Amino acid sequence: VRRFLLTVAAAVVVVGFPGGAAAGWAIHGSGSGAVKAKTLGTGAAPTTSVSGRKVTVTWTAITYTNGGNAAGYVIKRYDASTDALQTILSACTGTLTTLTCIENNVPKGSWKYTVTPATANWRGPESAKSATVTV
Amino acid sequence: VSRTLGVSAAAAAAVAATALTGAAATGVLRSPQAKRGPALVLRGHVVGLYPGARKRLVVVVHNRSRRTLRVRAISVRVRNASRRCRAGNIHVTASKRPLRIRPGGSRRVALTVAMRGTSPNACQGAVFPLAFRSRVDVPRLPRPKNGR
Repeated sequence: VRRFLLTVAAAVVVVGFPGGAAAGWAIHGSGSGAVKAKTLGTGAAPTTSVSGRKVTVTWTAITYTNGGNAAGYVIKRYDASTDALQTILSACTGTLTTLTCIENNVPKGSWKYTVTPATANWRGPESAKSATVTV
Repeated sequence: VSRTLGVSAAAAAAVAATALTGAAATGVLRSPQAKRGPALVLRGHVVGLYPGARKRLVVVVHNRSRRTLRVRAISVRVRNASRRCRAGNIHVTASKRPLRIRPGGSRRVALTVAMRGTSPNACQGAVFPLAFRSRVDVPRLPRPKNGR
């Protein structure tokens, strides 16, 4: 019996303290956290001026809700009477990194413009429509 | 009688062995003064990511135990923010810098978190939960000077 108990006690030491009592042992720490992404904010309505068939559209920088400017802007043109979206023409197409653009060869009519902040695939809320510009 | 004694001793030994190895097996060393949580707790938050951005993620590592702990590495698992904004849009670097933390002390570790330039519009305002995990060594106990 005594020999058996001694054997068991030795087994406890070996299993319970691998490497002996003086050795260190490994554990794991754990915890949690989070990463929060920004949100694009809404910009003010752009301003416009007309010269012949050229319309100059100007807008102010649009920021994220928690700081920093949007990387670019998308300009849209609407029919002032029907609100129908029109095809924007050069040089206001695509994502612009400037704060102004001049749309050339604008058809005769009455138009309104909007600006939408854009960063890569992200799009912010579209601004309110500008005052009507007549070409 | 001897058989009963033997069986009881074996059972006690098994319980003791389980109790002693339990901390390592589950990966949690319970601190004597704080029975409610793990000995080493990691926390870290960062805000302000957008497509293509890189930010510093400061992780605070707190040692709640009564022993000095040596953190060997910190790994981070990113979870999906939503069904349309998956974890793959974020990359967090792991830290392999060894760190020694005194009992009750805290250390700060700076990791880098980056958002893919192709992250979808659904990732605007998204919150990605992080799960930190660290490999920790409990340094050897000093040998008593007169212990020869």
